[in-house]
Amino acid sequence: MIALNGIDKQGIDINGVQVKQTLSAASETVNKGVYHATTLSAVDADLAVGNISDGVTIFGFLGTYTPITTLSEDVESYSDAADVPANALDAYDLSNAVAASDSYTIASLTQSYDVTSLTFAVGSTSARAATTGYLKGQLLMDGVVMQSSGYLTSTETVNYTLHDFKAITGSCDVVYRIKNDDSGGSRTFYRYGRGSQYYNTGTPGFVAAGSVKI
Amino acid sequence: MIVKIPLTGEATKYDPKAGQIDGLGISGNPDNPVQPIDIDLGGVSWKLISIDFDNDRAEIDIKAPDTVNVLKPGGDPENPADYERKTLSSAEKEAMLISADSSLKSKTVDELYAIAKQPRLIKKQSDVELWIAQPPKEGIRKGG
Repeated sequence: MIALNGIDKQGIDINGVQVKQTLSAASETVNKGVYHATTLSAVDADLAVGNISDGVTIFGFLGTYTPITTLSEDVESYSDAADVPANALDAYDLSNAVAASDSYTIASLTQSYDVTSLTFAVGSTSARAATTGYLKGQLLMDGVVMQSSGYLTSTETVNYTLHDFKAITGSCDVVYRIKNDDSGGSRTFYRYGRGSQYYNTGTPGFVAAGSVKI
Repeated sequence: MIVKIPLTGEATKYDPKAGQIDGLGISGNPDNPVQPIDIDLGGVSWKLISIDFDNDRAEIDIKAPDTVNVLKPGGDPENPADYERKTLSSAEKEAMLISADSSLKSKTVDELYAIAKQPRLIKKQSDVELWIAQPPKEGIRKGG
């Protein structure tokens, strides 16, 4: 077959009209045939330097896209338990009752966070339950219970520390609390320490949070 | 061990952008926080891994404690002096986790809510639709 202007003589269109092929942004296939002059970026507007990684060249387009890798500090804050003495030299002996199916807040903080901030929070207390099997430490971030400890023991004072991260936007609370799983009655836990310049007993309770902007 | 558990509390919003960062994207009411229902899972601790906003369920990673309090023979359950600390073996820890998982799998969701005496998660339908259209990113939360 002799092709005239790329068109097979036997397949030539009526009255000799040339059938032009077209490129499509939806497919990488380039069919055999004749095409109108064009630019690839006119076929697919996404072929642009901003959509190509920095330093990469595609069809003559040198990319400039750089993924965000810079992290910057957003905010950080902490809050000590309110019911222990501020003076580290003062002894404290606390007995806290938690109502049935209720909770007792050890420490909390409210902070405002930028959009797309990733926040890390930690809460801790040293406590002993009056009776084991009912009380647990919990960390809440932005109105969501993120973690729960096992039951507080009754045989010794133990540090119960929880930590987690969450994406937070705007104002929100970070709370460390003791939760009573007993629906039938109040349960008690103890925190005590003999503050001293030489030694201290456990951690009365605190919550802290820090975030980075992405 | 990762287990699935129904959710209660009140969700105030779902943010797809936040979900892409932490795999959750959900915010709750501080006075009625989003949380797993109060089902007795034994003395395990747990960490929130992911949330299925469409079915009001969460995945939590449960861990058995290293030690437990054991009541001495003839002891008074309300007297802490009648307890002693016992270190759990690997087999005992595994049994505790399996028991926790079984307590969830052996009941229907409705039965679990009835046992816990807690309502289903309160949420806005618009947030559910947004969650379905733009689900949170997987991977960042799995395994804690």
